[in-house]
Amino acid sequence: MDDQELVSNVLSGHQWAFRQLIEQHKRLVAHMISRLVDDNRDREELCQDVFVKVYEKLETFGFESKLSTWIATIAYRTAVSHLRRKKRMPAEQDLDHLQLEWTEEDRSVEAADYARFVQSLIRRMPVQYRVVLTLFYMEGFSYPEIVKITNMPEGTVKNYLFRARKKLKELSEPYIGNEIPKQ
Amino acid sequence: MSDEELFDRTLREALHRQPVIELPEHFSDDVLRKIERRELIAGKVSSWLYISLLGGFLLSALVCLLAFTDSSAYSDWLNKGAYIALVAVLLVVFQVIDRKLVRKRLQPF
Repeated sequence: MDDQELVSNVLSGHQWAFRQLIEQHKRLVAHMISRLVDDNRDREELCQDVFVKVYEKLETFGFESKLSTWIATIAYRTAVSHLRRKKRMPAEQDLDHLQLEWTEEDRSVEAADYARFVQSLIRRMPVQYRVVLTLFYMEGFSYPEIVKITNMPEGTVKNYLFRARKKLKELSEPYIGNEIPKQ
Repeated sequence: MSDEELFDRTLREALHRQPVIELPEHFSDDVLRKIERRELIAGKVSSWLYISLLGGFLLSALVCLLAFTDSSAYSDWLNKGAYIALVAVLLVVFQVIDRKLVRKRLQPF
């Protein structure tokens, strides 16, 4: 069933269609919320809120974009307004001056597994970098789609992505370097 | 494969392995329950709003009637049942608006 058919079934009042919409997009919403909100207690509640908003606003969705882009936009805005409400929205941080510190113990465990090492680096990054990396690499969104979701200018999105990759590479090289599997 | 491509691939793999919250099996049930709860609250609020508007309207009509109508004409009007008919028509109009616009919008699934 394509997006248009699914949306029209939800709008006709079919509960099964809305359940299907939730099943299809809950992974995307969980990713978005997890990247932005650190507090485990708030995450599930926020995921629910995203789908409540999707249900309430679905009538206004005019297929100007993919349904997933539209839902990701709602998830992003819900998470950002939650952070603002809790006063946990960090001011725009400069990645170059960011101190990425971790303990020796963390380092030894994480260096043994490159994926975990990269994860720990990303967790320490400012929110906007985490979001752009998640949308680009995990969800496979294009630049225009990321612009639509985050409302950031395309140049900013590209810049964040470029600098995040550069920083990750720079930080992981001393510890991982040759351990990156070559083909 | 160039170093850049290799790094991108590794980064993508690392991100894909990143743990995210596990939403429970009954997640969609929880969402639907939440929607129904909100609809119920919204329904109650709009019912109160509707009753208040109707009450206010009828009260204003009564005040206008007493203030601007010649008191000697009351009996004639009442005999003709004009006011009763007017009130009946207004009630029917409110019912139609309620059924067509308000309740339809508040119906969850």
